[in-house]
Amino acid sequence: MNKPILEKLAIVLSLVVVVVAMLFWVAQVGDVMETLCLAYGDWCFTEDP
Amino acid sequence: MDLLFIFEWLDTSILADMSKAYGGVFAVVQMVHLVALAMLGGTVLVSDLRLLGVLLSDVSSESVVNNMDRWFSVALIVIALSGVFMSSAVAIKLYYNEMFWAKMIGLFFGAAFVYFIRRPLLRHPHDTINVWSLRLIAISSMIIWFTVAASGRWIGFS
Amino acid sequence: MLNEWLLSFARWLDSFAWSTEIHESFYLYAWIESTHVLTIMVFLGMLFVIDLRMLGLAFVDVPASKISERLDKPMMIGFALMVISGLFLFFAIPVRSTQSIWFRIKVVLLIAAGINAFLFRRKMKQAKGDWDTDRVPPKRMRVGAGLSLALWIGVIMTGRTIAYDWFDCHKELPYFMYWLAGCVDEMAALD
Repeated sequence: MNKPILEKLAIVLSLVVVVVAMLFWVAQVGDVMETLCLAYGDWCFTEDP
Repeated sequence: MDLLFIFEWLDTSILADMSKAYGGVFAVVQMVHLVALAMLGGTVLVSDLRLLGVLLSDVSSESVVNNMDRWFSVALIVIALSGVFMSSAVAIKLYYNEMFWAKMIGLFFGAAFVYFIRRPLLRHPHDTINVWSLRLIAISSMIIWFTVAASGRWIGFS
Repeated sequence: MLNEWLLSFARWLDSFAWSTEIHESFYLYAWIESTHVLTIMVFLGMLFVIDLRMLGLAFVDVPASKISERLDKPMMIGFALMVISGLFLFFAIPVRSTQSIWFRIKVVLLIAAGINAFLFRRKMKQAKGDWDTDRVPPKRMRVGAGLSLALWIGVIMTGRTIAYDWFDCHKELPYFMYWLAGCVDEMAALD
């Protein structure tokens, strides 16, 4: 693969990595928040099953 | 593509027998995994922080990257081999573990990115490479390897 | 006597509500522990690269002092994070940690590694104008680097084995093992 194509691929795929990683980490934090919510429920809403 | 057959094979392989028979063997291999992880982290950080111009900025970028590349590969191979051994001990459980698959996807994507895009690109003189390519490669590299490591630890918690 | 004192100190820490909160929290202990393990990549990662230079295995065309100095700051940031997270982990489970033979060995290795690092830094100051630009540093530096690697690998290994209960106080152990691990109550029962 020539340089210009590699450069473009590098930019696009790097941005994909950044976005996916952000979603992954937010989901982990989201898990924590949900658990804290269930445990100490006063200050947040929980969906009734 | 269902990969369960690979994990079933691993589960009954000699690797699995070894690690199930002696708890100490698994522990030693896991420590090797951790030491190699430290090495991987060091090579990634030194390389990527140099590409961002943050570390060792008076040493040529090409020199820093070349020096770290070899040791990155050594670390990755040791991590992979020790990882396969550890996986065989709990193969079927891992197959059904979401965090394990998140880690594997990150690992394979990360490795493919390094060997098929990053290294071929960085073989060119760095001052001729688009500066945003360099920065984004560095940032995404640090993110992906730390995330792979973190998800690896979280397998143990899930 | 030291064992009794250490156990009293650990029990005192254990009496704090926060100690139990961290230990029993669903996520907090896991996140602190993950931070501690992942920061290995920063702290020991940098250290390994420095040691590679000292062994003449990487960056042989760069002055050794430059590698050592430049990687020092990120390394110490990593070290600070490891110490802070490590202290929290100890605070969360103080009694078991204090009575863990592996934790005790880890502390001894940490002290040894610290002394080695202090001596190393002193020798590095003498490097400039001497062996600094040699591709392979003199033998005493290579021994220091090798020792550094061995000690820190020992720290990682003993850190990992803390989790295993092979030599925990509640197990049937020889008296001297109880003494090494500080199993004060078990020793008293045997006396």
